Amino acid sequence: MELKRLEVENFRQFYGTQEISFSLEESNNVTVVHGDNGAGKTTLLNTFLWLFYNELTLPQPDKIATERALDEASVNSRVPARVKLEFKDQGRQYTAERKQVFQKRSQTDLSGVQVDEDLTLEYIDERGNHKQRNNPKSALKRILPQRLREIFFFDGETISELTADDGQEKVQSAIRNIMGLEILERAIRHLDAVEGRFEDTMDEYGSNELSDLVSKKQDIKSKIDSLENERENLQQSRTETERELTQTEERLSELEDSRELQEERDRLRTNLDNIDTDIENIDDETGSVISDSGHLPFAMPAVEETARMLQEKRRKGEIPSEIKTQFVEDLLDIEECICGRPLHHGSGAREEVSQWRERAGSTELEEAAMNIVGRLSEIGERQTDLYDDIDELLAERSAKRDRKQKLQEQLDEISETLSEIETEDIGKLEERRQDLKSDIEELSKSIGGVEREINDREETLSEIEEDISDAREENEVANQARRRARTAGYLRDQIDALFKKYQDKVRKSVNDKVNQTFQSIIEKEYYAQISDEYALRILKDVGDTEQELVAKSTGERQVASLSFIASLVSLAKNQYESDQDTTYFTGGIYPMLMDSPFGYLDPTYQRRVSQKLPEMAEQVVVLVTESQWSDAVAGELADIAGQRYKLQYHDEQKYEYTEIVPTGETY
Amino acid sequence: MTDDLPDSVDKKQINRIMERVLKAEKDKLHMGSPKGINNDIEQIIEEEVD
Repeated sequence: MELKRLEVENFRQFYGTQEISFSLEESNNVTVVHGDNGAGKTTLLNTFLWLFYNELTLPQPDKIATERALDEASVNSRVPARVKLEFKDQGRQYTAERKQVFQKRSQTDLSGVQVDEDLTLEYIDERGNHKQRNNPKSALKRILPQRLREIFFFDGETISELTADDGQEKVQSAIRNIMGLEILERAIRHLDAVEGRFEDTMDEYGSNELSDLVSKKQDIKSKIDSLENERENLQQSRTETERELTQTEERLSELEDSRELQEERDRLRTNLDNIDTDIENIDDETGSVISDSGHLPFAMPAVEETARMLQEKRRKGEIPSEIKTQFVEDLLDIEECICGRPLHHGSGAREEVSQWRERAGSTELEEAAMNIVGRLSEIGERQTDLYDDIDELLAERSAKRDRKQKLQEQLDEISETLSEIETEDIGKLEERRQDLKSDIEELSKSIGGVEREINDREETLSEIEEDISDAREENEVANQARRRARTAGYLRDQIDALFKKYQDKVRKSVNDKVNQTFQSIIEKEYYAQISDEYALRILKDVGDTEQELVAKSTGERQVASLSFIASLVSLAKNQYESDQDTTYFTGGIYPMLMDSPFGYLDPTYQRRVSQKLPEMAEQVVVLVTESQWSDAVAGELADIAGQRYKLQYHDEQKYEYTEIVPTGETY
Repeated sequence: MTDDLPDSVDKKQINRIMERVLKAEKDKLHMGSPKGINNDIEQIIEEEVD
């Protein structure tokens, strides 16, 4: 990033439109802005923070517009406060502008109320066209990340805090932010959260339900197998009993004294079977009749009401109509009435005949009405037929049942007679026959019970199989979530290892660079070091191999802190310009904007820092008080500084304001 | 620490997922609280691991 020109209008104490053009030359890359205490150096630093992040580190941050501009404005008029920056980033020219408009509410209102605001970011594309970025807020944060603002825009008088005992966190944060470690750290944190999400899914869908269901299914299948075996045994017993019954009855047919009765029994039984078949047929037919016409009794109230309404209309003469629409149309077409009067267009007679159309009935409507009446009668007749049919079928069924009962009684009589026959064989045979018959009935009942139980179990089995299918699907979701959770966890651990390795490497690189810069400024045999705990320390040699911490002066701490920041900016630039590219760290070229960097330095360090300033970043902006602008500083910057400005402070009126004045001098 | 590569993915796939995850992080690095980043990463893993 290369700063080109800053334009400020009515922002805080900068009255009217003020501007600064920054030094860009490689050999003259330092811009110097002079300003006494309170003249607006920190406010100038804040113009960047406001423009890029809508943020101020000043007292009364809600007072944006200049008091003088508001004082001069009439009541209800509007005063714009604006910061515009022209800069170049990655080869592209940009113009960023933030503007807020304030309305003066009363004669004494020197704050105004904000009524409008706007942020724009314009760039020039490859063809030289001016275009606007759609999301300037995000775009600006991408160009100069907010988390890096304390590195690029810093107050020299408080920068020495980096070397304080509790400064490790700031040092570590600065290194992580500018060297790309932040991406890795965030990825670790977010992958951990995502792993948790997949684990939640595993918990939700993964359960012992499937194994429980499979176990239930096995139990039911086993029970069904057992029941089927039982049914088979019962059926076999019944078949054998039926066979014995047949043999017994055959024997009764063979014996002289029982033959006739047995034959009569066979005949009666044949009749009984036929009657059973007849009753089944009657039941089927009854079902069929009810299925076809069973709705008629329910429909009859509506049918009768409709018929009544149609009868009423007919009684009133509404249907059929005496005159047909088509008949009226035909008269109008031939332009002659049935009485012979002409029906010319526009004539009164034609008008009268035309009105008949309104009263005439539609042929279609009348036909439909007649059809409905016909159908309604038919429905009534069908209902009567239905009742007749059902009565007839019920009567027939009743007769069959009576006949069946009689046959049954006859059979019982035969059986009784046979049992009472004195002949030993016949009596025993008949008793045996009755026992066998009874056994067959019992066996049939048992078979029926077992079959019902089998059917019930099969229905349960079918439901369990559906549940198993659902559980398998859920189990697959859980397994999939498990695979994804493992991948997220594995990635998190891999990135964590990468983070630790890279962090150590970065710490060592920053450490070497900080010490190199520090030693080029400091005149004593001291070393600057970033410890394993990220403490920025100053050490000195004790003997040949040992080092110890030195009691740091404020000036030495300021030099160490300045060296640290300059090292980060330099390493980011080196990474950006190198071929070595990683997804997580591409580096960047950033300016340094320093407020009072010489604050606590003695003349020797002032001179040495001044010598190093141009090397610290691609572009350096220094804000200094006159007292800090010592001969030592001025002497060193004579050949290397570019533009120079002065913050001209005015307090002669009831409000204070500042003008940025080019000094006309370049060093 | 999970050293063993999960059965369901190979090394090439892991590298691709890592690259996509870090790219997603980089795209939202300018945001103080990267809204939706967990959803982005979840989706990347869902797309890569069946």
